[in-house]
Amino acid sequence: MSKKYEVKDLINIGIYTALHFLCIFIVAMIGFIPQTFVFAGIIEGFLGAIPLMIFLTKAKKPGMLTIMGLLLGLITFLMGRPWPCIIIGICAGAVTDLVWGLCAKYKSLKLAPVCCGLMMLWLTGMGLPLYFGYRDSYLASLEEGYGQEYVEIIRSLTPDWMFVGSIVIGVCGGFLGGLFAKRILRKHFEKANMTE
Amino acid sequence: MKKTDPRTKLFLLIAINVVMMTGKITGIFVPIRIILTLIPLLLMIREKWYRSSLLYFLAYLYVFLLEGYTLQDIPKVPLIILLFTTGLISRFLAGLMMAYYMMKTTTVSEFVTAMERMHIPKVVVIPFAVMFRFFPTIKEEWQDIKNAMKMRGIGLAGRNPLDVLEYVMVPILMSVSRIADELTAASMTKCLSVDGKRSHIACIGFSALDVLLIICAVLGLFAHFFVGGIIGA
Repeated sequence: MSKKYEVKDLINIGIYTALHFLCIFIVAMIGFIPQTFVFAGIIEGFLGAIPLMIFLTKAKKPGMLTIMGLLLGLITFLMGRPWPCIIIGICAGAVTDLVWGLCAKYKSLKLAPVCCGLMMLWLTGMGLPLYFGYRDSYLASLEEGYGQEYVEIIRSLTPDWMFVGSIVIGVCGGFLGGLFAKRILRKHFEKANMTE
Repeated sequence: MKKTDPRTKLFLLIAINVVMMTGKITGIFVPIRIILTLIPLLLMIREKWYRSSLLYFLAYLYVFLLEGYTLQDIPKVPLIILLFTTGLISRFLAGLMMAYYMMKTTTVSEFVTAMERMHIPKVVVIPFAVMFRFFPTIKEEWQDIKNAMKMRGIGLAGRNPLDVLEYVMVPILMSVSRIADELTAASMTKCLSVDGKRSHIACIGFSALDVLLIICAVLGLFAHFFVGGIIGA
């Protein structure tokens, strides 16, 4: 099962991770407006899934998606989120890797959008400060910077069950984005020998 | 002039982002935030980027002078404007400038050397280096695509957003996959695919300045975690 990585694979990982992250980062700026805070996830997933679909056509070896997850986790960490986001990134990558490798055999176009959705699990790391033990002190620090009203809106939008909700929203966004990408890039997938 | 070590820059980036983005802004954090915002400023002046340093300085002057007012009772409209401008600038700008500085001043070979000194495996280092080098490239491609669209008279405003997405994403993805091939060819000629230990001509190492910067960053993180930041609170 284990095949050695070539330089081409490593470069592909780097490039598509960059593109994927950029897509999401642009949308995340919208998330700064408190009312869209949670729902930005679906647009994030939608946009981010498009480069992911192309990356899936190039990820033909086990572990490539895991490395991508690790990188995404690392950037999230560099952006000042708590450290468990790295582990979340790796896990998201590993799960996607398993599905893409074992179920889809690296070429099922039908399962590709599902994989895009699963990959979006790493987004959970971005929202991590809002939940669990981080929540109160994070919101308190926001309050100092943004004022009471802003925090109240965020607090009301993110009860604890919203943690699961945000995961679902992100995954749905990824799935829809995958379907959309499949439509606009059909020619490309045919060339890459991916089948329904 | 000795360059700052890539490891220092990476550590500073983490420290600045953690403290500025998720930290508090009152009490002991006032001097810490000032120190941390000064770091990118000094580094930029050292690189002789006078214009961006001036803009950066003015932006933070604005933030530090006005940030305190957000906690007081003032009319709603100016409050919202104030909140969003100071909030955005104070949280993101320092980290962004640090990241920009890091990307501009670190060559790929320096970065790879530094990572190898830290014994991080190649499968992680190379994608990471490619990724960081690639952000500016995407921006260039985006400019080119925008120009090409303008030349053909395709405007982005007032269209179905899904169409816009298609018009933008498809060319970007196509040129990106071409760039990936070219990069692979280029790195083949640099023997990146050969196994075994590589030698480096990039000269990196810690100087007195690095030590000083690291101490500042450690102090900031220490205060953040133990005096009353995210976890200590």
